[in-house]
Amino acid sequence: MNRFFKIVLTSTRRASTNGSGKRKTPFEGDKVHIPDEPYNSKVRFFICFKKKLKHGIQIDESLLSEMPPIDAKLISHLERLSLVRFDSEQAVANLRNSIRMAKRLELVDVEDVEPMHTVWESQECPTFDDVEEEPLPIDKVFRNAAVRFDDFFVTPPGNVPLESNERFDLNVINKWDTIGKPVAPEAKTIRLAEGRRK
Amino acid sequence: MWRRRFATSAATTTVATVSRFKPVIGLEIHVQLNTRTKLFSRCPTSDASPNRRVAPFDMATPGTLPALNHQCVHRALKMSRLLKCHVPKWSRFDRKHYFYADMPAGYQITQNEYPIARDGLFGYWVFGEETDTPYWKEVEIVQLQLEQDSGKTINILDSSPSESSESRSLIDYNRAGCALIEIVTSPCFETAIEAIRFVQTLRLLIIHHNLSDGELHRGHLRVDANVSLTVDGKPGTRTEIKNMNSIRTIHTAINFEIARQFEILSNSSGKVIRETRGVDSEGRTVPMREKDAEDTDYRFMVEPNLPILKIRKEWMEGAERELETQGIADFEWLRDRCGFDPRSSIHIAEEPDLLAFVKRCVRFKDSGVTADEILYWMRELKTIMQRSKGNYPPKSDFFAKQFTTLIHHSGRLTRLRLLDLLRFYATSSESEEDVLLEDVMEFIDKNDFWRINDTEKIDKFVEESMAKNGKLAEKVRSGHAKSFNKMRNLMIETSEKRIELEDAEDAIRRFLQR
Repeated sequence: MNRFFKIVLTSTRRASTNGSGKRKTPFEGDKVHIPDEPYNSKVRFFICFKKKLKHGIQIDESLLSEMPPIDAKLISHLERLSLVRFDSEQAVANLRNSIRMAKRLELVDVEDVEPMHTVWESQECPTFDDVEEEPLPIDKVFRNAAVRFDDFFVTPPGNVPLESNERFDLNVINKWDTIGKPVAPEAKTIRLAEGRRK
Repeated sequence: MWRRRFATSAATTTVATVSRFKPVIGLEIHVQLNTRTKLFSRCPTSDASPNRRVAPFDMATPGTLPALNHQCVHRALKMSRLLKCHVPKWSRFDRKHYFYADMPAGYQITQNEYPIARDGLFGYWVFGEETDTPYWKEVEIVQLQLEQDSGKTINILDSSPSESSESRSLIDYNRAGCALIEIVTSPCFETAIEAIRFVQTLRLLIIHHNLSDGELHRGHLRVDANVSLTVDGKPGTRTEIKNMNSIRTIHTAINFEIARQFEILSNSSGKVIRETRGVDSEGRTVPMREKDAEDTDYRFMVEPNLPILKIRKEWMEGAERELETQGIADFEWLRDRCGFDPRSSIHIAEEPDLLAFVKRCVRFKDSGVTADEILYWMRELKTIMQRSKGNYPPKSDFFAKQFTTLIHHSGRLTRLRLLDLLRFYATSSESEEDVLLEDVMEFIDKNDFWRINDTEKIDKFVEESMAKNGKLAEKVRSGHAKSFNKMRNLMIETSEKRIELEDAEDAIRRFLQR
């Protein structure tokens, strides 16, 4: 607790003094909201959602909904949504951990609170006249293009079906955090390949 | 081969539909607006070679922000009024995510939860083959939303089996970010005809009010159809037919899909899979390559870069004012003001040349000429022009005037004479000699082409013709049918087509009975 206020106070004080190496704000005297030093986020949790937490700064994991088991179907669903491929059990296990961490947000009381969609909530959408402006010159359009064919961008064909999803040892992924190892074991495929080599 | 198979399956559908199956069709129509610039950037939308109409925002350059085009909102408001939609006080934009190379941001900005308009009603006439009586149908409009178009993809497929396949896609972003209005109807159509008449009527209205250029073949109007069959009143699984861009395709594809589903369902163990289907060049629906057996998750989220769009009162008034000054569309004018039937009014309004001709005719129309008469004689004129290899319809004002005058006096001329005069005026005015031509009334008066109604006069023609052609007269007297016709034609010919066919026949019969 005390540490948190100390951090906030020091950061505000630092911002208001002018000197080299000091934090600067666009307007002098503005508050700096990002602290200079990291602090334990659990402290913040405690301050904001005191009511929901039972034992002080510790988050009661039993209040959270259960982790869904990660299966081949879920992995392929996530890969399709993100267009990112998991390259190992470790990657999936990391994601699983992140999901577990994010689940803490379930404890936030959002009853009768409209979600915030934009920082321009009180504004109206501005509209613009239908007046043409010069489009980008062709060389600028292609400045970042890796491959160009005549005046077209070139991409790999779309709608490529994803490969089989039975690539990972699901047991390892789902148990990793209870095994207690900092890094998940290597992917099954690699192990198998190495085993064969041996 | 396919046609025959298709025809039989379609026929069985209609029979069986009565007993167990009923098609249910809903449409999604994407209308490309003809604004000068795109929906969220001021990049011009005019035609150009690939990737010449691209602003940084259109290719999702990081750091660029959407700037909403006011004209698009204006046109959407006009469209909402045309479709009698409810326009809420505000609407909002959403992101719909999917990965396609022609959608560079990885999402499309559209309106999902709070569209610009909803709950509309649109009435139109449905007519089928020539014999059907048209009926009025009202379609519920679920919602109307503004959204971005995607770019265009050219797929280059390499069929060689080698692993280093050369398959790739070429992308043109000229269309990316252009403004679309998507019109979503409730699943209230029961036949393909109902669906296509709706699209046809809507298209004419859209063009009239300058919302879109409405050229189907150029993709200004793209239609998706959701088709399912209810079995004994229970809703069935639907399939979605994507991206149809001609009226004929919509018609055949929907019918094909109904027939296909019917064939599956009439087999007791058959099951229709929920899927997206494309259309091949023959109008058959084929499964699309993409697999979306499980429902695609678009991860809709509110577009954070666009605040809420509040619809101001003066915007609404402006849209209404403009609709009023624009007046009714041509097909409505033909139908409601000139008395053309629903089928012809749509048909004429769809063909600019025909429309111009009919407009000219209506301008010169004497009070006695009805729409049906104009239509009847237009059909005759079409045959004449086809035979004489002239252009139909003739373009000159002069001809239109003579045409309506002739129709007005059609009761006083024989049919053959009228056709002759039409041919003469149509072919001569086509060759730009009309300056030399006199008015048809003067022409008729001068040559005395008026129909002979006096039976005594006609009888005289019979007597003369019979006397002149002794041999033929013998045959006619003996009851030879061919000779009878020959004699009749001879008579008409000598009278310079002033005797009506029936009159001539009656007169010969009278003569024979004497």
